[in-house]
Amino acid sequence: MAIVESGREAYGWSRPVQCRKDRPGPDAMRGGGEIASEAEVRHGLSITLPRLWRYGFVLSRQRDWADDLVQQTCLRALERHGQFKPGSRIDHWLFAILNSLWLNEVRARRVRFGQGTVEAETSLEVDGARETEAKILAGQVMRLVGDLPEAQRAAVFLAYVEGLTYREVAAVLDVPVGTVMSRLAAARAKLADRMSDGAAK
Amino acid sequence: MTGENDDPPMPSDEELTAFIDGELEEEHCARLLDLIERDPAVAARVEHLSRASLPYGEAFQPLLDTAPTADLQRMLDSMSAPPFAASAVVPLTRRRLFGAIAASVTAGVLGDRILVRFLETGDGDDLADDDGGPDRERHWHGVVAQYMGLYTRETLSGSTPGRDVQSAQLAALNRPLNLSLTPEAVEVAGAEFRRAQILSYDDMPLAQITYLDPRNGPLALCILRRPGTVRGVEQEMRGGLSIAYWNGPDHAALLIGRLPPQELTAKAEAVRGRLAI
Repeated sequence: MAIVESGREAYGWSRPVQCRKDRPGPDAMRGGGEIASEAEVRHGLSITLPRLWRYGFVLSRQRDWADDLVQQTCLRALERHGQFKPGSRIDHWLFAILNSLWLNEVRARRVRFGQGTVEAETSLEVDGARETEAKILAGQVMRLVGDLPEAQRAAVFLAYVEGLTYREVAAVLDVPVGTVMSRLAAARAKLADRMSDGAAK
Repeated sequence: MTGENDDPPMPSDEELTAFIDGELEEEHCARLLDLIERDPAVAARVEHLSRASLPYGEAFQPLLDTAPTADLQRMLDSMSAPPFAASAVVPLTRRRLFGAIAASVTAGVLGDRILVRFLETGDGDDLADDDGGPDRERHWHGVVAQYMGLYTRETLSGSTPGRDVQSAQLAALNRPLNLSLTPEAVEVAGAEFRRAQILSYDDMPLAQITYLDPRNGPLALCILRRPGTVRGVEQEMRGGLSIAYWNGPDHAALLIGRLPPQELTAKAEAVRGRLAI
């Protein structure tokens, strides 16, 4: 890498090979035709269910809340199938619905009825995460992400796990791109500090 | 994007994060690269922030398997869209969905074959596309260091497998790497064998043999199949970990751990004497 002089530590970063570029997505995730049909949205939901559930779990940190969020997302998406813009990414549209339901309904309801606060929830760990080295490492990365404040956690998940661009993350979270940048930068600084001071160890 | 000021002394974390994530426009990106080359403080900050470039995709993959997909599908199948609902509701938001830009969801498989692509930025660039500078040859050291940085004593708390199991695990490495590793050859003085497994770096098979040194914690011997110039043991530090590395005609090898460089180099010299790479 041109930037790192020999003798200077090159730990941990590689030059982005390309700056911004458009990435074609899988055709299965795109709607076709002029007006989205209910069948199309239903199909989109069907192939996105596990990823929706995972996002619901990352937000709520509880399995039953994730179940609930996915169920409500299905209902809402089917109700509003006419609003899906054919040719755009249906998975992102569904993430946006789920995110909105979480912020406006599910989380609010949970706090209102005193069913625990966000901070008190279980950490992000898969059942039996200690079985193998690989699972332990996965568990450690998930724990690091799980310890982030909710807004940063959602941005990190969408950008780094789901691989969305900043603009796509902003669209899903319904916030300006600048807000996504601040959240990712704050998260990155926090995670890097933890990696450096050995908190992940 | 931010940072339109000319040549700021220290770019913001937002700007550097966008740079690491490959989100900056080309011109902006080039300006930062230039600044990083000239200013060690900026380079250090980029390096620091890059420590958070973890294998997120792989780490969250198992969560997909725990999703109650069949139940959710049954729930979906039982739903019918309420009539008239579509025209009765207001738009959820007025956001635009960016259909032209799509994400690449890497479904890394955790298990015996782990993809080591820690340094990939969010947009799925492959390390193979790197620009081939002088550090290219040792780039994998950084990737391994970051991976090993996650290891704790607990990660390797299991017991030492018997010689037959060690031989079987090593045999699985020998074929793809064209090696003839034996439990004796890969012994590391003062450390207990834990596990041998295949990882993948840049689409090349990477052998990783882990050990627990009761005094210093996790250690790993890593071997990459890559022809190069034969070189003796040299050492460097990455992310607080010592690395002793050497090259054979067909492979590059390194020993990595959290112990004094001289001590690690001595162990590496011993392994190098026994190991035909």
